Amino acid sequence: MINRQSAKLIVLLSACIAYSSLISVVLNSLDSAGEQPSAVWRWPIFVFGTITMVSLRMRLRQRGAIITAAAAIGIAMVGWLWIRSERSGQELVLSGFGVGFLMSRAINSDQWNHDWLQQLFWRGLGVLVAFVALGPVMTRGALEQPGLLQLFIIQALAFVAACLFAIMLDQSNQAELQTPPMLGWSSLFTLALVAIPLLLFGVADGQRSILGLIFGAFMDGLVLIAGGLAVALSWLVGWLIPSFKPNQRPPIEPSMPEAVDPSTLMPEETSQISSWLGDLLNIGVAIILIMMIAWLIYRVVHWLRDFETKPIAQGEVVIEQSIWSFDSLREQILERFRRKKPWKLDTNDPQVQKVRRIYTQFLELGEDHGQPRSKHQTAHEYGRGYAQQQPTNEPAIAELTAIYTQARYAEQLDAEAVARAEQALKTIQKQQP
Amino acid sequence: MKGRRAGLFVLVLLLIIGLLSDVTLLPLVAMLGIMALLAVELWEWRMFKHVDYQRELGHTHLFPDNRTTLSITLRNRKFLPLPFVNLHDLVPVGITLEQIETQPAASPNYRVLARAFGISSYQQVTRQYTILCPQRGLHRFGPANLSASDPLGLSISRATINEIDRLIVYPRLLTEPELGLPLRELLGTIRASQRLLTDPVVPIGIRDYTQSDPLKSIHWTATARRGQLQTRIYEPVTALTVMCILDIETIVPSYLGVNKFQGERLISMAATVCSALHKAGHAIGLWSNAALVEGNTAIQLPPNRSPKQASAILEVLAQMSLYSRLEIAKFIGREQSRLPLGATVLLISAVDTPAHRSALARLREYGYAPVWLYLGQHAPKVAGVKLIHSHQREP
Repeated sequence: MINRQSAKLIVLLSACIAYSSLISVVLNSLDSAGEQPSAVWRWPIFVFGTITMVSLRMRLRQRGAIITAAAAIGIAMVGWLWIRSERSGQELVLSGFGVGFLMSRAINSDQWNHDWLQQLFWRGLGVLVAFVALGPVMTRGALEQPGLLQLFIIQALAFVAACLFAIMLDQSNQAELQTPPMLGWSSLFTLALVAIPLLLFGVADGQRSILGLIFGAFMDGLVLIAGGLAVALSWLVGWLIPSFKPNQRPPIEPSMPEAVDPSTLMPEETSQISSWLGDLLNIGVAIILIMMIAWLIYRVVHWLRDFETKPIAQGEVVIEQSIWSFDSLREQILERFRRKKPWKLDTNDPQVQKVRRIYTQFLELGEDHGQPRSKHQTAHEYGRGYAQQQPTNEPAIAELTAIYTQARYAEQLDAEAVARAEQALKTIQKQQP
Repeated sequence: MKGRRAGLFVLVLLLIIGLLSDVTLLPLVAMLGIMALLAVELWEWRMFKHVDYQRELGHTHLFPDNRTTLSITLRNRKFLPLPFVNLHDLVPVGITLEQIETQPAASPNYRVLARAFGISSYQQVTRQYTILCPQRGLHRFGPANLSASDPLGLSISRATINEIDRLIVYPRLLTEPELGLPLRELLGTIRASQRLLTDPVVPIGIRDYTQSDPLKSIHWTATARRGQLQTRIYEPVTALTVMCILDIETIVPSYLGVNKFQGERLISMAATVCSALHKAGHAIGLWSNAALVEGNTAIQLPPNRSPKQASAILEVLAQMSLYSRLEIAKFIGREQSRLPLGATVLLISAVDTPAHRSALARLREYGYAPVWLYLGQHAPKVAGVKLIHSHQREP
């Protein structure tokens, strides 16, 4: 079951992936020599980040977390700079420290609440925007390379998505509520929100297919985890069994082909059959892959459905019913386009008409803010109820109600009644929460 | 709101700058922010449109320790789903929601039922609870506060549903051991002094004919058997008119407070006696100096033997507070002229003051038959007033 702790874990994991991705992008931008230098750097950084965060999660407080994260990142950067001393590492340290700070904030459990999560989201977004704005300058344009760019975008946005997801989980897992309603729907909404800009840009750039873009976002994180584990395992095996050296096999030297007699060559059909077999194998593997993905999606959907429909609490019966009907839909659509009947005001006095129209606006405002006027309510009853909800607006509501009552029932209206009513309405509109 | 609009403006500016300056990441991130803010605006605009909240009770009138259901329904009649709706509905402290935890409210008389809903397009979600009603009273449910947020939880809209639902829990009817006296003693033996009205359906015997007997009452078979005229004797129709006056004061003087146990026992005693008398076919009315929970009207139900009278009396007793509006002696003195002639006045009280005695004596002088059902510790003695004493020690 997903609870607050699980939500934290998701955020931390995602932050870790985004962090390692960011660092690898920066490293890549400075390392123009190797073909895939990020493969060398990403997994140790990922493992390093995970270890740091897990250790920080143990008992360290905020200041300790920041100092430790900064120190760890700084040591890593110094080590890297020591290896490649010919290049400047100023931007690396800066960006690494920034992300480290964000991470250490994220893992500080003492301040974990809904407001703080929202702050984290907006600050994270702000840091992202700042980095994007300054990144090309800091990395001397290397960040703009298409492949690295996609990688960074996906994983950084995954961090934002995870933050949003955690906000939703946090909101739905408050102790008094005990229920995470619409979890699956909200998750899909978040994914859509993150994916749509990506898709738009992906389609516009034509660099990746839509499926590949989405798939890549998930696969990249998985590869990181699996890669780290594999390397850790091979290291462990190597340490336990000194004779086991998987990467120490001597390279196979290619031998030059000797002269071939044309009469001994295989007939044409054999190579064709092997080609078909290869195609069949490819198709089979693709089908198996698709079935596995479909099964995975089915399991996820099933899990989400179970999660949403499970009994909320003992002693509570939940009945969910659809009230959709074509007639209600048609009525609501037509309502949008139907011209409202003009109010029949039983007076010809323009002042009175103006006051009553202002009061109508006030009623519409109340309706928009969840305070519709009931049929049985008098103007004063409604005004009192509204004022209870918005104490700051109480004088303005009282004044507008008094002017309306005067316009509705009195024979004469004050000369400045319209101006005062307009002013009262403006005050109410301004002070709406 | 202002901050969000400013943020939207900045993001649009960043989007334009990004598009013009050929920095790919900037418009992407700006678009992400813009979409998030637009979604928030959309939800905030349409959040509570076509949304209904309904609270329904399985019964509106119950006896104590009975169970009923409380159903709360949230209905969304629009396309836009409401992923997070938090409901805070006020439930009275006098009732218990079985197996459901409630939270303290600002008012000590209420608890908060906090629930979360997630509603899709055109969907209604109903949640049912079993409630136990151990306490007498008028229990009010509501108002309810709804707060809903967009899927990202970045803005919250609130609405108040002012609808109030009422559940009336009648007073507990006492059993004979709780009553402390046999109910038959309370009703007594009632004899009609004159048989003005008789029930022609129920003959109870025969006697010799007298000249004043109507011819239709002659029992011809018995006449033939005995050889002289015999007349049927019918059961006399006798019904009392009883005005039950409940004195809610439990401590004298009243400003010292109330004894809750005695107060509830007084009300239960009145309910039991009135129900028994009504069941026996007597016209029963109720006066009291107690204040109602809602409203400040005097409790004056005139005597009636209609089937609705019993439930009307129980309903009034259920809504009664334990605080008196007026001393009972003054109340009787003021309202005495409205008493039906020849009625039996049954005063139920737990305190004994000279004012009580003088009020009963005055009633006796005016020709009424006062009966004092006294629930206090020491039984008083008042000449010419039938006294019934029933005391139960406070646990």
